[in-house]
Amino acid sequence: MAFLNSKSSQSILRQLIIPLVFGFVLLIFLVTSLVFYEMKYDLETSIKKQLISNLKSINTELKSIFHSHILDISAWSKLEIMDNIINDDIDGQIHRSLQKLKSNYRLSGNILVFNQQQKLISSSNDKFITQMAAIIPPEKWFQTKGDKIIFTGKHINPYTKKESIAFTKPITASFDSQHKIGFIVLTHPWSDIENTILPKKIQGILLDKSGRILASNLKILSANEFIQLEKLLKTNKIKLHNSEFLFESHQFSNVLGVPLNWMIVALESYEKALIPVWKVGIKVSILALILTSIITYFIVWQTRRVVSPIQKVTNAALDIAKSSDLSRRVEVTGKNETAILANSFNIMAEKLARTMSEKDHYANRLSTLNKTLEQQVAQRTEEYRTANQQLQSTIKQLQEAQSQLIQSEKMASLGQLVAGIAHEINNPLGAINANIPILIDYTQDLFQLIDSIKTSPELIQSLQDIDYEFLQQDTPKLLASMKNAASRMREIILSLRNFSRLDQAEIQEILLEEALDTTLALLSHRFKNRITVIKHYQLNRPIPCYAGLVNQVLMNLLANAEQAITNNGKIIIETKSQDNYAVIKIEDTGIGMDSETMQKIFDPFFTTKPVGQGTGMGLSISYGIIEKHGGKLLVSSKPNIGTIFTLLLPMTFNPQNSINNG
Amino acid sequence: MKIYCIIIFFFITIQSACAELLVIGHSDIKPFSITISELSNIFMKKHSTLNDGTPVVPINRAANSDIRNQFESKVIKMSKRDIRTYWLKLRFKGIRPPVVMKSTEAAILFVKRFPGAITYIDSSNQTTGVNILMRIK
Repeated sequence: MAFLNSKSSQSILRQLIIPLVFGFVLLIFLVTSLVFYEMKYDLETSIKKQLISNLKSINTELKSIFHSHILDISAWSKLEIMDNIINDDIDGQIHRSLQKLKSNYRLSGNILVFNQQQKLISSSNDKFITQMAAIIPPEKWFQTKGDKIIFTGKHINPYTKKESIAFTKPITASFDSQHKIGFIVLTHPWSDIENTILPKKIQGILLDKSGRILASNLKILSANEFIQLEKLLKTNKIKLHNSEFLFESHQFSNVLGVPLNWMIVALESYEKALIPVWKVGIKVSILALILTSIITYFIVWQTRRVVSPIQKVTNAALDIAKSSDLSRRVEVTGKNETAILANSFNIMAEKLARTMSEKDHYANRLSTLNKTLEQQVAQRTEEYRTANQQLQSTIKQLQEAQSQLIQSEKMASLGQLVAGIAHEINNPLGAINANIPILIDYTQDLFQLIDSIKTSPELIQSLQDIDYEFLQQDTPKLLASMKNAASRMREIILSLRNFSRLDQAEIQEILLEEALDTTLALLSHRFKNRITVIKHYQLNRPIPCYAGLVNQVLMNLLANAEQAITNNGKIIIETKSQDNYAVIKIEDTGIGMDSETMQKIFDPFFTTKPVGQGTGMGLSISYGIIEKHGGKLLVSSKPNIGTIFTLLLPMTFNPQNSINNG
Repeated sequence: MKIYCIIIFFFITIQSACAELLVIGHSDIKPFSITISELSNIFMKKHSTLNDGTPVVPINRAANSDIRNQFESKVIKMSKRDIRTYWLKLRFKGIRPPVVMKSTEAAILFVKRFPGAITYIDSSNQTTGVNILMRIK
């Protein structure tokens, strides 16, 4: 019933609000990102344009300077006055001309004129030539090819001891263009070049063709550092000492055919350049946040306004589902779809309430009828069960009584039969017993007579023929044996009479030990050579009982003990008095019983013997007999160890009580 | 005072007017191997070699100098106006007039150092290291 939870995550409110808010936030994020990216791109483009513009400006300026220098030096090299190189300008004409040129052209550098042997002839400098003549000019000033102007990059001018650049043009005689007479060199201070190329407002680097920094107004860079030119040519951003820069570069390959091989790089710090973007980005983000908050609030408000009536209907339905209170109604406002829904719900709830009421009424009635019916059924069932139990008990008692009766009758018949047979045999046996001693005496007399008369050879021969000596020796033995057998038969008959005790049907006091011995004697043929009987007779006093019945019990118990011992074993018989009871304990070392068998052994017709060998009545009858005496018959047994039957007979037996008990 | 000055001026004028011109050339030019007309042709850039084929470079002296006036009157033998006109025409054709040396020392040094160079000097100057090609009275 999890769907009854009104705060389920699947509520319409959540299903509407979450996608709307998420969509709006995503839209704001995308728009902000787009604006930010576009601004960044525009700013970068703008900076690039500015850098290109700066580079163009520098390029124009630098080209202008170099252009004028190249044109000037070309023109000056062709002045007729330069012919005075040949006579070392001893008239000072070149010197004066150079001074005028420097003044007129407002040169910040110097013009130097050398002869073909690279000896300084004249200079625009005010110093005396003699002072300057000792200075050796740089070799690279004069490494010209043909008539071309050569450019010497940043170097130390030995005449001014300052960094300069220089243009050199070979001079030919004015009257013979094939005749070289010297060189004119125009120097320009490097500081001027630096100021021109790298004005303070522009961040830039000037590199030579190897990437060596010739000039830079970036504090993080120092002169003579190297920058990989490949990076500059391939990327649009460069990282210098952990700072990133946007840059544009321009190569000066040559001016008017004079090779320069310079590269100017104009840079702008990437971080500084993007500061405006970040500022705008923060503003846009804050605006987006505010806008998001307002719109989110509006979405939540509007969604709630739409969903609220539906929630009311839902809550009412949930309440009804949970509490089954069909009196719950939804408040109807307005005339829109939700109002129709609420109204329909109310009508439906009302109809349902009516239906439920009718259903409850019929259900109550049905329940009452059911209860009555169930009570009646239960009552009848109980009566039948009690009656059945009583019937079962009666049947059981009847069966037990019947079986005991049958057994008693059988035993009684057997007793009578045994007593009759014993009586009938007793008389001839008595005769045999009485006559055997006489017969022995007679035979002795006869043997003595024969011994006395065996003088006649014929008689001797006759005696020898019948093996008289053997006969004389064997006859007493035969007679003794007969006597023993007769005696044994007498004992058996006596035992049978004792067992049946037909003459003792009344209560008599008997010695239980004697009864045990008699029984053992009857069973001795089953015991011999197999079972050792150990006797511990400690009672030795007469006990009042139905002797025949007790003998029957003892016979039963001892026969069972014998049957329990499959091969060799022991039967230990103990008698003693205990708590006014005469106790007979018969213990065997037989196969024993399990607890399940033990519970059933006193049940009538229960037997463990094969069919036809046992009636299953022995122990049941025994139990009945002992109970009749007011005694107890107990059993304990363990499989494969043995069984102990304990028979308790009251020492003072009152038949009246026993009958009542039975 | 005026009389002394006039006498000194006259004396100097006579002296100069009567001074001998020496035409000197680089040591690779044979001494006294040139004629007046040849010299004129060379300085007027009509010829650039001697008759024997030796290339020459004429070195003129400063315009309006005494020595030049003497040379033009004795060798070129044209009025200054005609000479100016002549050189205007040649400049128009792209031919420049000879190199001009302001001082005699400069001219002599030039001649000494530049093969084929020819100039003229006053006979009073030292001529070591150069060959005298002609003496003009």
